[in-house]
Amino acid sequence: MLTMLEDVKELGCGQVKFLSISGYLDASTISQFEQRMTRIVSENPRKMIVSFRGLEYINSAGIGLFLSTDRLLGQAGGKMVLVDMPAKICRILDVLGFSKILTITSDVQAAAERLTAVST
Amino acid sequence: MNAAPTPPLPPSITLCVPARTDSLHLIRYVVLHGAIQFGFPEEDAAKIEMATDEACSNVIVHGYGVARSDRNHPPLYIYIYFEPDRILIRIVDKAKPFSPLSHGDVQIHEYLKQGKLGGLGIFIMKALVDEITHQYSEGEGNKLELVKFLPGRRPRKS
Repeated sequence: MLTMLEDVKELGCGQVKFLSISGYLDASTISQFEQRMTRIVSENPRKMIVSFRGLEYINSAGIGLFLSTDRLLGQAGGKMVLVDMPAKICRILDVLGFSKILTITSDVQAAAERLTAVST
Repeated sequence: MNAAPTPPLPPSITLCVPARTDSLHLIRYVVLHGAIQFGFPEEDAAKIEMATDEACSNVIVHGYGVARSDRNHPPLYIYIYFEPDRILIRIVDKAKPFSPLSHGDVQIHEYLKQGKLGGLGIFIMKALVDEITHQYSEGEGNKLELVKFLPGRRPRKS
């Protein structure tokens, strides 16, 4: 089961695409998530925050999708920040070295600060 | 009020599930909680959970090539052995021969440059457990074994 809630928020850094995911991101839910992310990327958001609050599990394909989205947004001059990451997922990303590639902050406020420098 | 005592673990657990992606949640649940109850710290249990999920996903998606709601779902066997110094997960399937060990290591910087979406599963599996072995025979199919030693119990390489 995967639940995704999408919103546009006005934060201190300007308008931000906000996506909240909960449940689990595995081989049974990845295509649903990939379709959603493909559409979001096609809208070319300059600033994006993804909340992992309530995400119990992420598999390799989910991680690969975030790496790819991070790269695509970056190439277009945008930025994605991941927030509210459960300790279990954070530790796995640390061990695999992906937390050095993806931008991860503790909460939305810290993410907004990281997005301040990104032009809209 | 005191919590009810946790019953002792059996020496092994066998799961036989339909080879469908919606079986993965149950597999992860049993592996994660079995590993924690066996004595692994949560961090290591999560590694075993993920390596098992990746291995089983490979079998279901690439080996059998079945979708989540496919009605013709062959069985997938997962044997979990709690040995004195390690947990051993054996995954047995009758899909086409496939060894994750035959795939070369992923170079992450190259992978990122290529902008691929998939292809990280085997890299992750190798990174998260201590040993992986694979055997294939006509009669028994694929037999993949994942081993993770309890903290401080991993034998030193000679």
